Amino acid sequence: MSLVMATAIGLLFAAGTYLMLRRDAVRVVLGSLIISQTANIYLMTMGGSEGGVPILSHAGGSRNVTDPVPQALVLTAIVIGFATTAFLLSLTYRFYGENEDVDLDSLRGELL
Amino acid sequence: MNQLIVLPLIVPLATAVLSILFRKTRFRDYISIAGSIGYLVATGLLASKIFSGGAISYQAGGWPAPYGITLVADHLSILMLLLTATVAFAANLYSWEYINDRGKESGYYAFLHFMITGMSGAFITGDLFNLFVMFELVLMSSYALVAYSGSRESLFISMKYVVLNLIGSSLMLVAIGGLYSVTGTLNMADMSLILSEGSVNMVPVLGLSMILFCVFGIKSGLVPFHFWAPPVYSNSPPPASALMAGISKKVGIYAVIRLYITVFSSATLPETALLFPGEPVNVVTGCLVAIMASTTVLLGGFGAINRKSLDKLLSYSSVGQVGFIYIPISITMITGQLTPLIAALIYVLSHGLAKPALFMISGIIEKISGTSDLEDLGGLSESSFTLSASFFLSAFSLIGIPPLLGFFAKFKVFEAAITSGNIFLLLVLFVGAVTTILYFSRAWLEIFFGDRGEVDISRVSRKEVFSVIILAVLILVLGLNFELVYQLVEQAASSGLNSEAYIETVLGERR
Repeated sequence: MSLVMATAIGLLFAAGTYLMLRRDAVRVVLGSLIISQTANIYLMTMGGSEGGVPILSHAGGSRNVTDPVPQALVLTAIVIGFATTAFLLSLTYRFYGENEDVDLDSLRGELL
Repeated sequence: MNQLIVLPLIVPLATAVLSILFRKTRFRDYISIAGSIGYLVATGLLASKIFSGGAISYQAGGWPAPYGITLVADHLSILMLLLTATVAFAANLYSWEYINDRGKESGYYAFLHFMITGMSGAFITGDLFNLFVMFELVLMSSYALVAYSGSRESLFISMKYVVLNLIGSSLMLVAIGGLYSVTGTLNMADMSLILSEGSVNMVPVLGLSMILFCVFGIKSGLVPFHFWAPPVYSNSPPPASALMAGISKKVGIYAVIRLYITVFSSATLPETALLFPGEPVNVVTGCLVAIMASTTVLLGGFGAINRKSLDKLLSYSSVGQVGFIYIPISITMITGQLTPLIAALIYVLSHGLAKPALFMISGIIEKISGTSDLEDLGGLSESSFTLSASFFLSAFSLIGIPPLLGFFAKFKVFEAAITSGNIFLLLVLFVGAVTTILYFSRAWLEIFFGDRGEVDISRVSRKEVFSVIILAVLILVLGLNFELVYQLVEQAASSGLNSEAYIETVLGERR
């Protein structure tokens, strides 16, 4: 199971990096979205083996429950990633309005 | 009264919320400045509590230490909080007249105070994941402040900044997740305890600590992660770049001191490890830090010499100056000595006061003369004595002229490098110091002497000048009372180095 997860996470990180290296600003946003979501999947995987629901009455006394901490972390991280991506998309939209082009190379040589 | 510790979080948070509510009324300036004064008072109260009774911790929600979220304030945190409060007050006063109505209506003050909330949160949290959340709070506000002018360039720069920091945040999550999986805790004191017991596998800790260092490197702009800093600083409004260059970089530096020198210092690689067997984790990371810091000093210094405009020069200078802070930190990471850490913290104070003052002066200069190009400026010393005196104090403090605070900072950093016996580091520091002298004296001569340019001194308000004077006078006063500063910083450095005391403060009741 961990081998499958490791492969999947690796592929997703690779896909995100590939998209981030594009010239098109929208693809860069998609790439950063994939990378931040992959980090969340990684965080879930770090929680260890799966077990029962981590609620006292549901576990029925068995000690084999899933660690709830990574899930709480991922919830927070998803919200933060969501907010940042929304902000990034609105920035891209404003940039398109000002520049009439989302090609990031169109600015080359103008800055610094 | 350990609840006092939440005050530096609550006050700016409440001010930020009130600033959103009242952003379209004329009360917004009063609310914001009252919030800054309140923040100053809150940190002052917390400081007096800590200076009289030692470090305190507070378990949010009443859950005992390793399970709940812990807030810790010791001498190190309070030193950073006091610096933040001072600079935040000056930046806020400066913004009063500098920021136009459009900016204030779209919530400039709210972002400023959210940023301050995030910074104080990062300084007092005792939980690794909470540190991540506080970093995001600072970043979110700075994204908005960078894009504030809404021009094509600033939008593009803000986009780059957001994407870079999204990568940084993902890396930080990866490192935090890994550390949780290895040590089974997110509480920094508990992690330090578990690492010192040596019952966990140390090999992943080395890799994860290096990933985490990349994140802090991005935050504080170390080479090779420095490239975002110059455009970001020169495109934000001056009070915002004052806060970002002055304090938000120091958040990264604080996190490095707290995590590496307090927490990871107890981790040692096993004898069976493939690379660096038997070496402490910090020694390996410390060598990396030393190399990155040396490159930063050189690149920032040489980058600043040839800049055409004052704000770009200051941005490159702030890249280089961070290297001066990281070099003694790397020495402490490798040797575990106290004196280099003291040197680093004095430099943090000196740079944290001088760089915001310089950024705000550059804003005033651009306002009165309509340009920040060094070629077009000149003769400002005849127009404004206070302005040239403040620039002189801040710039020559960074160069290292006695009796200003920066002299002692440079002196201690050089002393640390000499005692470490590393010729290479000493040489880098020397070259870095020479470049600092070159670019600041060039700026000083071009702006304040020579042909007089067109200036309209009436466009500058008293509040702007006063906020710069506060910082400049502090640089002089702290330099003259250096004994007092040294005592404060020494306490801060020893509480950073003493993991035992940190663990005792947080987990005291449990052990």
